[in-house]
Amino acid sequence: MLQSVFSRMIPLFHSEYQYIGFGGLSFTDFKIFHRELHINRMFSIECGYSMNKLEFNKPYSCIDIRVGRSIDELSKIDLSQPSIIWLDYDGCLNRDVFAELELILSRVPHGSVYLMSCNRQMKNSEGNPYTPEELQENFGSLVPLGLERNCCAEPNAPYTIRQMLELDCNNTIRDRNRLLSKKLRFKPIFNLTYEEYIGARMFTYGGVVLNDDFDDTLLHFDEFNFIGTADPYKIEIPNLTYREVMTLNQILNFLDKEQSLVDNDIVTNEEIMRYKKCYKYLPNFYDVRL
Amino acid sequence: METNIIEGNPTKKFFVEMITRDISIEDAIIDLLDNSIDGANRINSETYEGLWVRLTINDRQFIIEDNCGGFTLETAKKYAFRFGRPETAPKTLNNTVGRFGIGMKRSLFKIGKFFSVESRCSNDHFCVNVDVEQWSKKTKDVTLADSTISTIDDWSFNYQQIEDDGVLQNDGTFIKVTGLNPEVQDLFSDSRFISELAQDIQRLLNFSLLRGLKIYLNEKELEGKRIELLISDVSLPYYDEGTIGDVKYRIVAGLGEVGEPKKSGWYIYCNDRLVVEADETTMTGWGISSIPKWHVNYVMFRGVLYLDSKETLNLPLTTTKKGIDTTSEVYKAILPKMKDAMINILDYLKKITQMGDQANSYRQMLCETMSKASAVELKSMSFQINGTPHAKNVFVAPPLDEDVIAQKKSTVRIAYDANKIKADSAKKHAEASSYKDLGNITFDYYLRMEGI
Repeated sequence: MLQSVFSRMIPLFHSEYQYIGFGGLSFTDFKIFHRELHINRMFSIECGYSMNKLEFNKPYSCIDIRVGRSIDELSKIDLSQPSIIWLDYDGCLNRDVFAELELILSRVPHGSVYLMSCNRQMKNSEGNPYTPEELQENFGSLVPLGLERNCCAEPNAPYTIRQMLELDCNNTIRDRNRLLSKKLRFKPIFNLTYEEYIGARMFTYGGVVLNDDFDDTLLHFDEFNFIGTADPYKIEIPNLTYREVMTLNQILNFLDKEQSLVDNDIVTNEEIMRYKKCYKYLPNFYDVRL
Repeated sequence: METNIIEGNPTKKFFVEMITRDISIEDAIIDLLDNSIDGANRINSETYEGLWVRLTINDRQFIIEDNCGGFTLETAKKYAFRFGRPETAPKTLNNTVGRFGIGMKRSLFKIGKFFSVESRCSNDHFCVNVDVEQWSKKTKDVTLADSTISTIDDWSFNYQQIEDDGVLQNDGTFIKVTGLNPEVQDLFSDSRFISELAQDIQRLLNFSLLRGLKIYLNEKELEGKRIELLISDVSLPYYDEGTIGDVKYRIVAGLGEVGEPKKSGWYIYCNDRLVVEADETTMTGWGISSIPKWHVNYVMFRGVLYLDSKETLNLPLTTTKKGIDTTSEVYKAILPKMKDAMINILDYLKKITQMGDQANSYRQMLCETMSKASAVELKSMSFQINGTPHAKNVFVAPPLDEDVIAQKKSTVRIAYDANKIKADSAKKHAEASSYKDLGNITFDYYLRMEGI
C-alpha cells in the first residue's frame, strides 16, 4: 500500500529521495523501496544487533547502517533532503515518538513523508486503558482537551493516537512556518489499523509535508480508498489458501461465481470482501522446502 | 464644541503608585545600572574598559554615579524625564535595553521621596532636583476652548544649569535619592539585601562586567558571574543562529555542572542583559509537546538564547526586564528551535539515568574531564570537532558506556527483610561474604532447585 502511494507521489517532486527506517535484520521495506522506487540513499537505524551482524545481513550496499538510539541517529542524518521516513516502533506510543516526529517535521523539505507505526494499546501499568487524566500525566500538552473517559480503550485508541499525532504534526509545522517565507503544511495520508502475526494490535499514521500552495489534486490520492480516511482504515487479510486466491482472482466481481464459492462452503462472503480490499497490495509468500 | 467629556487621564499619585508596584527594589536598582550601561555602550560598544559605576546604598541614601557619558539637556527635556517613549523618539540603534521611557523615574520613585539627577554631557551640565510629594501635588491652570480655566496636574520637572559647583568632574551621571521610603530604608540597612543585590548584579549584568565595566557596590568591586557549559573535543553543544526581522538570535544548549538544580534550565539574554535565568517552566518549552517537565534527571541541562537588536523595541523584553514577552512573534518563532535543542539533550540525560547507581559518578566524571565555556564566550564561539566545523542543530553527546546501560536495563533489584538470627546462620552456612552475597546465593539456589 505504501509503495503504491509513494510510486505515484515521488515523480511529482522531481527529487532524489532518501529512505530512513528501522530495517531490523530482514530489511523488508528497504528491499521494496530500493527495487520499486529506485531509492538509492537509505539509512537503517537499529540498536538491538551488532554492527557486524547488521552489515552482514543488509541486502544492498546502498544501505547505510546506523547503530544507536533512533533520536540520536535521526539528528545526525541530513534531513534537509527529500525523505521518506518510516519509524516502525516495536512498542506502544510514548513521548519519544513525539520527540522524533518534531525533530523530523522541523527539518524535512516539501514532498517528504513522515510515517510511524506502533502498538495501539494505551494501557497503564495495571493493564487498564489510560483514563484521560493518566494520558495527560504521561503526555502533557500533547493530549487534546475534551477526550472521553474511554478514549484509550479499543476501538477508540487509534482515534486518540491519531488525534495526538496529527495535532503535533500540525503544531510543529505551524511553529516552523514562523521562520519560513514559503509556508508548509502537513497533509495526512495514512491512518491504518492491523494485527501483526504475533497478535500485536498495530497502528500506522503518516503524511506528507507540502508547500502550502501545492495543488493536492496532482497527487491523485482520491484513487486510493485507504487514504486520508477519518476512521482508521482496517487492514484485515483473509486467511486463504493459494488455490483459493488463484480462483478468486479469476472470478473477482463476477457475483454469481463468487456466490457459488460461498455456497460450496469454500470461502465466506466476508473473506471475499476483505480480499477485495487488499488483494492489489498483498505480497506473495511461499513456503519452500529447500 | 464637544461637551460630553469624562476625564480619563490618570492622577500623578495613582500613576506613581501603579508603576512602582510591580517592580522589586533590586530590579529598580538594576534598571538604573542598565541606563549607565546603555551610556557605556554609546561610548564604545566593544569594550567598557575605563568606565565605572559606583553604587552607595545605606539607610540614609542611595547614590549611583557613573562616568558613562551622561545625557544631554535635550535628551532630558524630550525623553529622560518624559513618562513613556514618545512616538517621535529617534530609534536607539545601539543595542541598548532601555526602551519604554519608564525605567529611571520608576526606580527613583520606588526608592525615596527626594531625588537629584545631575548629568554632564559635553557642553551640557545640569541638575534636576525633585521633591516627589510636592511634585505630585503640582498643578497648572490651562485655558480651555470655551475660555474657562481648568486646573490640571502638572507633570513637568524643573532643571538648573550647573556652572562649576556640581559633583561631576567628567561626563557622566550622578543620582542621589534621600528620604528613603520606609520599606526601602529597612532593606538598605540589611546586609543580606546588599549581598543578594551584589549577587543579582553579578549574574544579570555579567556580560557588561566581563566586558570591562567596573561596578562598585559600597566600595566593593563586583565580578561577573559565569554561566557555563561543558565542552570537549568529543562533545559539543547544539547551536543555531539566524535573523528574524532585525533581531539576531543564537541558541547554544548542552550540558552544565551537576549538583546545582538552581542553575539548570534556560538563560535568555536581550542585548547582553540577562532577562531570564535558569528557567525550567513552560515559558522556555518545558512540558510542552514532546518535551517533558523539568526533573532532577535533567539537572545538567543548560541552554542560552541570545537575542540582539539595534532597535530594542523589537526584542521580547518586558518593562521590568525580568522574563520574556512570550506572545512576541520573535519569541514564538524561536521557541520551537529551543525545543528542538532540548529533544536531543534531554534524551541523552535520560540515558545517563539508566546507568542506575553509576549515573552520578558518570555525571561527575563529565564535569571533571570536560572544559567550561562561559555564556559570554559561547556567544561568539565557533565550534569545531576534530578540525571540521560542527553542524548546526546537532548535539554531540559525550560517549556513554552502552554496556553498563544494557546491563542495568536487564536487571532488577529484589529486596526483603529477614530475621537477623536466621539470616546470620544462613550466611554462615552458605559461607556468604555479606547479606548481599547471601541474597544472590539464595536466589541462585532457588532457581537451581526449581529448575527455572
